[in-house]
Amino acid sequence: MEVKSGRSLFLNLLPLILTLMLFAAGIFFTILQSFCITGLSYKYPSPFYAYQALFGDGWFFKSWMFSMYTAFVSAAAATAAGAVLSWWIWNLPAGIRPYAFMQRIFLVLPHIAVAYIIIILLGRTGVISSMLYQAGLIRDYKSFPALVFTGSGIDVITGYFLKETPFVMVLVLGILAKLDPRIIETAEMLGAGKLTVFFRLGVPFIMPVLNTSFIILFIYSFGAFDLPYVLGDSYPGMLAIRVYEYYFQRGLYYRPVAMAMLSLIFIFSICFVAIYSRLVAKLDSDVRKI
Amino acid sequence: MKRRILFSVVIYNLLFALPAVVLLFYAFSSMWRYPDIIPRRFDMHGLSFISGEFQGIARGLGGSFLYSLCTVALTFIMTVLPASEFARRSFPFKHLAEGLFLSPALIPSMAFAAGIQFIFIKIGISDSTTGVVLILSLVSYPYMLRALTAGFQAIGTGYRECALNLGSGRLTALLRVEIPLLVPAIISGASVVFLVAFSEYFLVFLMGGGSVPSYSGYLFPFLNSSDRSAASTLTLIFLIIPILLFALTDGLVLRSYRKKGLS
Repeated sequence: MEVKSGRSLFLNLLPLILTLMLFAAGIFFTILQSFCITGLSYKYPSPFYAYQALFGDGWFFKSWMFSMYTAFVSAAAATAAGAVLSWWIWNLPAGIRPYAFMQRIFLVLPHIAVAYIIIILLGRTGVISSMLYQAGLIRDYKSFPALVFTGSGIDVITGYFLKETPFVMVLVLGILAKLDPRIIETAEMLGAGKLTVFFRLGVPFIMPVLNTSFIILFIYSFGAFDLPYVLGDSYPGMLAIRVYEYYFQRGLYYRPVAMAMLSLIFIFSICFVAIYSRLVAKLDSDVRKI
Repeated sequence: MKRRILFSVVIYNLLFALPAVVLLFYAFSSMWRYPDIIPRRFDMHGLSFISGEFQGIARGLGGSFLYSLCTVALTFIMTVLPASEFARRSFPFKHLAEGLFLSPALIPSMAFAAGIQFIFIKIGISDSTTGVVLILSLVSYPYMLRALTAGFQAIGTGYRECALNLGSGRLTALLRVEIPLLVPAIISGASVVFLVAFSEYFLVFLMGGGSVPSYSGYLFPFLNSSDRSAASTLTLIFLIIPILLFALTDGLVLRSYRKKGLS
């Protein structure tokens, strides 16, 4: 048996400690710059200039709420759909199960590619519009609602939904592999219907994974850039797009405003994870374990 | 009953494959107009576009491959020793440490990448492949860490102790005994890290500043262009290449296992 010392532990963890220091330094410089300490020679009226600019701007607030809304709806829908589809696959006969695999296309496709697919599917002259026209449900492309390049958020939500559902399925199928099918058989023998089995046995079993996926997906969609950038929604638009504008397009003077938004996004993410996991822990302790 | 199940699986696969089919239609037809459900005629516009733009595409793909593979290698080096500790030893604040080490995958990457770009400019590695690999490693190493920790847990400590008892050094035990046993875990971690790195657009754009060639950067301007045939063909490449790569890795690993009589 080896002698295990704190020193060897520290040495073995060192690569990640250094990595985490880079991460912390990144956050530090983002926050520092948000207080107008940029190392550049611009003069700001006050160190809180960027935050004052943000809080005085109604657009920022709308953009924040819009990001929360799209992130919440897409993450919740993807988590629910991922749970239901995984349950369906898990209940297939073992020989057929491996053949339900096509969702993986969306695991492989990058966010920018999924966004492009949304444009060609949901655009006014897109595939879905064509199908509705051929089915005689709309008169021409003008009667198809403008979903892309507008502020509805449906394009962003659909995009994230398609990209994220397979991700949830990977996690849920991983945990379902550990569920003993005999429990289900017993429940069915005792007269439980399919819905009861799903909601009373399946859902509680996969709930921890669903909570984790929801947290990951919500925060990701809240702050990510790639997908909404391709979809190009203008107003109110996702926060990441606003950050990009302030960071790259408005000149260096306005960079602290971008940094302030990023600092707020960072603080919000931390708080969200903390509060959500606290809530889940509390709910868990209230519910009787099977 | 069985027929109904098979039918539902087919429908399921078709629904998820629909977007890829649409991309294929566009790739093989420059004449797909509203409101046709199927293109009026098929042509080779997409393919001839690729052969015409071959140099740009190859440059982008080459760049993406280079920094993605470097990211896979770096994340492996970063996480292999920490993963062995997390899998096998309990120490104070272990849960907190694990949570902290996984956090870069959770926090929106823009928030720390913007600050890190500031640092990289100061130390002169912005606009370089080094910078791109570092930032991509920072957002993707948690996946490698998770996979390797699970791998170390699965193989246990027995093999390592045997090797050490038989007189091997720690490094030899790691390189000759444990890492070969870890191959399946390494592959699953590496696949995710590769996908994250290969797919990323913004971070490469931010840290590479246009001077690091990438396929996502090459593809981007086409996505909002009117030439849907070209854009769709290029997007299909984004789908096909990782699939080919994963199939290839799986095949190679399976073959090496067969050679050793392990499967």
